[in-house]
Amino acid sequence: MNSSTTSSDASRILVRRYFVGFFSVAALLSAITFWLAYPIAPQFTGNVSFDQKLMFVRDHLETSGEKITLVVGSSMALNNVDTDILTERLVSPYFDLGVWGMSIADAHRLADQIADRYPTRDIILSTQFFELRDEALTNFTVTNEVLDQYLNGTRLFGGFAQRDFYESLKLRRDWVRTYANPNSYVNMQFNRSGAVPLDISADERDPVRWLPVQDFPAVCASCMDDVEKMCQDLGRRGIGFSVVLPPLTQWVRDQRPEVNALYLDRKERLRASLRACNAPLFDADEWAAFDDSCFADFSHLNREGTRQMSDMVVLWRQGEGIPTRGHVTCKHQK
Amino acid sequence: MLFNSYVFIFGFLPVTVLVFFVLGHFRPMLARVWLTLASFYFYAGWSLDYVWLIIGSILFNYSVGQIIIAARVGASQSLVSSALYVGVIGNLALLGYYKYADFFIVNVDAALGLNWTLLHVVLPLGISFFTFTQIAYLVDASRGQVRSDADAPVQGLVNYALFVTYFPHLLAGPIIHHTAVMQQFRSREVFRPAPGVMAVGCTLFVIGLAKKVLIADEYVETVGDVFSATQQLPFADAWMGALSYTLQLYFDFSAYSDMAIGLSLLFGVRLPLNFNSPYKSTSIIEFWRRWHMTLSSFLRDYLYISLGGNRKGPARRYVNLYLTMLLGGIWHGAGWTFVIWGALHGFYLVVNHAWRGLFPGSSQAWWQRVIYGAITLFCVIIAWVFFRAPDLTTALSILSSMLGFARDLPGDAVASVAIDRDMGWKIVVGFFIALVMPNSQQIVGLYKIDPAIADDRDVRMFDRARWKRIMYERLSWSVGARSGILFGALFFACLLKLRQVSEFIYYQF
Repeated sequence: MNSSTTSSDASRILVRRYFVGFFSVAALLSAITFWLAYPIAPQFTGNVSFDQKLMFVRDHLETSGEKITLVVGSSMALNNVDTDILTERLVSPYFDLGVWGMSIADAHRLADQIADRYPTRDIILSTQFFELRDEALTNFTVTNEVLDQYLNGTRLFGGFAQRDFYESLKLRRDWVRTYANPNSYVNMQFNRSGAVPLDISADERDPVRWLPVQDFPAVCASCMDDVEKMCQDLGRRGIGFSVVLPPLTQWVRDQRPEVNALYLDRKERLRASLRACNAPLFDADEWAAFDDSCFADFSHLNREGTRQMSDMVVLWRQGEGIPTRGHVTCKHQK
Repeated sequence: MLFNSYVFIFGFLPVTVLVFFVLGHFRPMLARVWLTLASFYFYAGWSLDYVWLIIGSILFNYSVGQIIIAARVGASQSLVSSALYVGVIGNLALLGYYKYADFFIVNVDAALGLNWTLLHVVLPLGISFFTFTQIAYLVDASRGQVRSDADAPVQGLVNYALFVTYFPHLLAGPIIHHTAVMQQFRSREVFRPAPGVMAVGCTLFVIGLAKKVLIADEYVETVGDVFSATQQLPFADAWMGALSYTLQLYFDFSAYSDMAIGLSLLFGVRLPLNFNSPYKSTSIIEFWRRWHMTLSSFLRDYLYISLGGNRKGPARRYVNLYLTMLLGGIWHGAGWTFVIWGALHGFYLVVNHAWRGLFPGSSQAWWQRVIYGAITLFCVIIAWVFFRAPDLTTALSILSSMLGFARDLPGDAVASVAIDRDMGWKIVVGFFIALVMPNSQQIVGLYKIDPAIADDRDVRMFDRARWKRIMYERLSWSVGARSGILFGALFFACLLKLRQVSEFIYYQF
C-alpha cells in the first residue's frame, strides 16, 4: 500500500467522522429540543395562554357533527365555569375558549373564527366586571390563514412552521413550576373540555392576589359596545348568546366599597345592554353568596368554587328558576 | 426562499444536491439542466412574475454574446463593438427602468414641477447582480475570454442560464465570471460528490448561518429604532445605531457570501471570495480590496479601466476613481443617500491615493496600523450612516448627534430611543470578532489555496504575534469528529433561531 492511498483513506475516514459527528449532534439536540418544546404551543401571539388554548383546540375540539357551546372570555372563563361539568350534566358538548387578558372584542373575534370551523350552537361570554372597560388590556389576533393552516395541520408537524423553538425553550424553564401546575395562578392544565380549575385553597392563597391592587377602570363610556356588537352579530348568525358574571369576594365588598360600587355599576349596565338584545345573564350573586373560601384570589374561584358555580350554571341552562339564595362554602379537597 | 429558512435547509437544498449527483452520475448535461431548473424554482419562490424577466434577460444576453463571439471569430471588430454597446445599453436600460425610474421621476418632478405620476415599479430581486454578471459576460466575450457554443447551441444556452441563475449567487452575489464558473461545470469531477469539499462547504454554510442568525440579527432592532427616530438623538444613541449598523451589515452580507460559497462547494464549484475581514483595513484602498471584493473587481475591471484607469495621468486617475465609486454608490440604490455614500468613498479613495503619492512605501509600525485602522473605520462608519439612512435629513441628524452637536439643543428637542441594555456588549463582541478573530475563509483554511487572500497581512502575522498565531491555530478548522460535533452544535443553535430571522440586507439592492 503506498502512502497516497493511506493518506486518502485516512482523509475519507476523517470526513466520514465529520459528517457523522455533525448530523448526530444536530439531530440529537434537535430531538431533545423538540421533545422539550412539544407540549408548548407555537407562538402565534405574545399571549402564552392564547397560543396554548389554540393548540388545545386543534388537539381536542372534536368535529363529530354535534353542535357545541363555546365559553369565551378573559381569564375568568378559565377558572369560573367548568365546561366538563356542563358537558356531563347537560349531555351536550361545551368547550372553554377562555384566555388570559382577552378583551371582549378579541373574544368575539376568536369565537367567530372557531364558529366558522366548528358547528356552534351557543356562545357564553364569561366576563368579569373589570373586563368591561373602554380600553382593552391587550390586543392580539391570529389571521384566518394561519388558523386554517394550523387547525387543519397534521398533529406532529402541523405547527412546525409556526414554532419558535428558542422562545419555547425559554418558556420551558418555568413550565412545570407554573404553567403545568394546578396550584399556580397561571396554570394551563386544561381538563377535557379546556377549563382550568385551580387547586388553591384559602390557606394557599397568594396574599398579593387577594387584594385587588390593580387600577380598575372608572370610565366606561363605550365599554358595553363590544358586548352589544357581539350579541347582535351572533344573533344574525343564528348562534345563541348569553353572559355569565361571576361573583366577587365578600372581603372586597366589605373592605373596598369603591370596587364593589364599580362591580354593581357594571352589572347594571351589562344587564341593560343584554336586555336590549334579548340575551340572558347569569348573575352569580342572584344564585348564591359565595364564601371567601371558594376563591383563589379576589375574583377567581378555586376548583371547589368553580364546581359549585358550574352546578348553578347547569340549572340555569336547564331553565330552572333561581332557588333560594343560599350561602356557599367550599371545603378544599386535593 | 431564504438560505436561512427551514424549507431551504431541509427541503430545497438536500433534494437539489441529491438529484444533481444522481443525474450527474449518468448524464452531466441532465444535472446541469436540473440545477438550472432548481435555480429558477428558487427564484420563483420570491416572484413568479419576474421569472419571465430573468428568462428574457438571459435570452437577450446569450444571443448578443453569441453574436459578439461570432464577430470576433470573423474578425469584425465593428460588429463586436456594436453588439457590445447594444448589449450593455440593453442591460443598463433594464436596470434603469426597474431601479431608477421612480427616482428619476421624483427628482425631475421636484425640479421642473411637471406633475408626473410615479410608476411604482417593484424592484425584481437580484436584478443588480444578474445584470452586472451578464454585462461582465458580454465584455469578456468581446475580449475573447468566452468560448463559442456554436457547435452545441442548446447546451450552450443551458450552461449560460445556469451561469446566470446558479442559485447560490443569484440574489446577492458574489458576482462571477462566466469562464471561471463554467470551466468548473464542464469538468466531470463536479458531478462526483467530493465529501472532503462538501465538508468544507457545509462548515462554511454553518459559519455563514451563525453570522446571520446569531450575530447580525441581534443588531436589527437597535438599527431600526435609531434610523427611524423622528427626533434628534443623543450622542450615545446615535453612535450605538451607527456601530450596530456597521456590524449588522458586515455580518449580514459576509454571512450571505459565506453561505453562497459554502453551498456552491456542496456542488463542488468554487465561487470567488467576497469578504476578507474588511474592518481590519488600515486604509480605504485596503478596505475596498477586502469589502465586497467581487463588486470592487467588477468596478475596477469594467468601469475604472474602461474610463481610462491610471493611464491618462494622475488628475484623470482621480476623476476616474471618484466616478467609479459614485457609480458604485448609485448601483446600490436609487436615492441621494447612496449617491453621497459613493461620493464619500470616492473622496476617501482620492485622498488615500494622494497620500500614498506623497508618502510612498513606508512600512507601518503596530501603533501606526492601529491609528490608520481607527481612522479608516471611522470614515467607513460615517459613510454607512448615509448608506442606511432612509433620507438625507435622517442621515444628517444622526451624524450631527454623533459629532456632538445635539448637546447644544434644548432638552425637549432631543429624544432617546429604547436601546437593548446588552447592546453595548454585543457591539464589543461584534467588533472583537470582526477586528481580532480570523475570518470564515481563514478558519476553514481556504486562504492556504486562494491567492486572493494568501498574501493577507493577517496570515503573515503568523510569523509575528504569538498570541495571534495561537488563536488562529486553535480556531483553524480541520475535518474530523471533533469539528463535526462542534459545527453540528452550532448548526443546531442556528436552527433554534431560524423563525426570528430577517431577510439579507443586500436583497434590496
